Amino acid sequence: MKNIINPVSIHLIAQFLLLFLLFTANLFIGSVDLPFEEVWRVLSGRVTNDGSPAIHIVMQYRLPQTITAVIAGSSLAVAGLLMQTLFRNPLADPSILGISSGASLGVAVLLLVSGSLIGSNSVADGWVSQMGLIFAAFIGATAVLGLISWLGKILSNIVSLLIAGIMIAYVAGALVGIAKYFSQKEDLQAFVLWGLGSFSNVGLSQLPYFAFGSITGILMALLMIKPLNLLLLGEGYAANLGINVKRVQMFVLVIAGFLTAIVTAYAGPVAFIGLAVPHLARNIFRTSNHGLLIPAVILTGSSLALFCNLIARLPGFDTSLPVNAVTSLIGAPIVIWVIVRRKHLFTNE
Amino acid sequence: MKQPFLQIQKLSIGYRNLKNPLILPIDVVAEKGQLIALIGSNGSGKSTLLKTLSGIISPLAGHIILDNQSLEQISSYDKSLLVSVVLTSYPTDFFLRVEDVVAMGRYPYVGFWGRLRGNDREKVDQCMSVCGISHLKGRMMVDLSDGERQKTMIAKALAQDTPIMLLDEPTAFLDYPGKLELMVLLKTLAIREGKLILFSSHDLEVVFKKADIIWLIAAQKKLLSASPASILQSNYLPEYFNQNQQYFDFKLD
Repeated sequence: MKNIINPVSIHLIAQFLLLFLLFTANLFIGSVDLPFEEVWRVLSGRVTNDGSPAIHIVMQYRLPQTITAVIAGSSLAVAGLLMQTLFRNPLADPSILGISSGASLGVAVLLLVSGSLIGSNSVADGWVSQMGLIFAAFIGATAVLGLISWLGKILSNIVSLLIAGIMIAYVAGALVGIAKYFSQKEDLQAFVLWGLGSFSNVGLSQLPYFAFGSITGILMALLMIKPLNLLLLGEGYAANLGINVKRVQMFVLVIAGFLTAIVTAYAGPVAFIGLAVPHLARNIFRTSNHGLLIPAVILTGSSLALFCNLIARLPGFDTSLPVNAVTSLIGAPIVIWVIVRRKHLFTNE
Repeated sequence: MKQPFLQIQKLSIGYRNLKNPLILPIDVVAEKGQLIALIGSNGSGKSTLLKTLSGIISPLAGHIILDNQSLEQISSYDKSLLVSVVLTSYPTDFFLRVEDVVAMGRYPYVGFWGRLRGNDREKVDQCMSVCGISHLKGRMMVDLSDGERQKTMIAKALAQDTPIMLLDEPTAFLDYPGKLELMVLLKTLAIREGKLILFSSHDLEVVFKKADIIWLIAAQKKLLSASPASILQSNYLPEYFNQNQQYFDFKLD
């Protein structure tokens, strides 16, 4: 604390600046070319007439999308960090326990199964709203989370739970496959679109709910800093240092699962942010202390999501690219880079 | 009358899903300042006994009385102030530094957010210095040798500042000078800090040279407590290992 100019504060300040920069860029840059002054006038509240295309684009699309990216990126990054600590496994990510597969299944049931059952195209006939999709995904995800939590009480160790979670993901995937096979073309297309992920599903009216849920989850994670650090020592050492390991593990699981559920409900499946960001943050801050890592992944996760969102709708393209594809394209090389760097730095063999 | 610091009464240990207890009921006592070596063949229940004594698993029957309190009635927080452990596993997280691990030994003493105060920092530095690892404080755990890692975990247990320290095979994977050095460290801690130190080991030679008392578990599932000299003079060792054809020919100093 005595010295403000230490590597940690420099990195934190740099991360803040980067986040601010990307946030601004997301508001000013997009598929539609709007003049800089025009966007600025909208944001500073000097344009109020609803007829202007700028106000429509900025307030209805860019602003909610940018905020959604920040919330989704930080939530997924925190969820990924918790999962990696919980399973003491660098490959764990928010989707590892089948929670996002549960969301897919929920959406599949709504779009594909119910459509076939009542013999109507769910999307074309317009009886499925964005709200319905969010609801279905959230119910599917929390159902899996409930199942996992119940199994966690029965199974004696966390590795068995990990295997059970991966199996649940397979079962959900298989059920989705069956639903797809029997569904109608238009419904299937809607389902595939949902699966590509998007930061533009959340309108300004829905944003407060999304933000509230996500902030609640992140605050809960921040309350777990001490037990999370102890989990890094291994279960035996953690128990000996006075925590109830099983209870802590269940708390961590529910927090990470809830964050994953809410993001998948609002933005669809978004891959690799939850896996890559904790690695990135650990490498930047060179620490495993959750007191620093949680704030760090919040910043890095938001920035990475904003960066991906920017790439997805660069000017010059007629349409925007699917977010899930962009996060994978950017996230996977980051994970590889981290591993290569690690080997270079640390193995003497 | 003063009660012994650690009393084990009719204790039977093992895992509930297995039919037979690993060791027949144990009755033994121990005092602060003693360095006790737990020896026995593989699978004889050494680790299980250590885990039971540290409260990680519960006993099948019997009582463990620590400082006049029954172990089952001590909360897990209070237990963390009484017993510290060094296990055979060690943390593998990539950016975990030696200093961070030793600092976690202070967690029972610090507040909700886990921030160490000045006196906790001093204690951490002092424990690293006692274990001879001050020069490693900024190094990552994954970069350490087995001996350095072992000393880090001992420094962590020391930082926990408990009257009892339990160590599961601390001398495994160390070279001979390393084993001896570790035994000297444990002996010093027992004498100077007045700790009751119980450790399991297969390194009979260094164990018999340095331990005050030997707890022997073996083929008949009984636990015998005696001084190294009396165990060597008797025929206990080959008998307990169920190997009448083997002879031990080392001498005590």
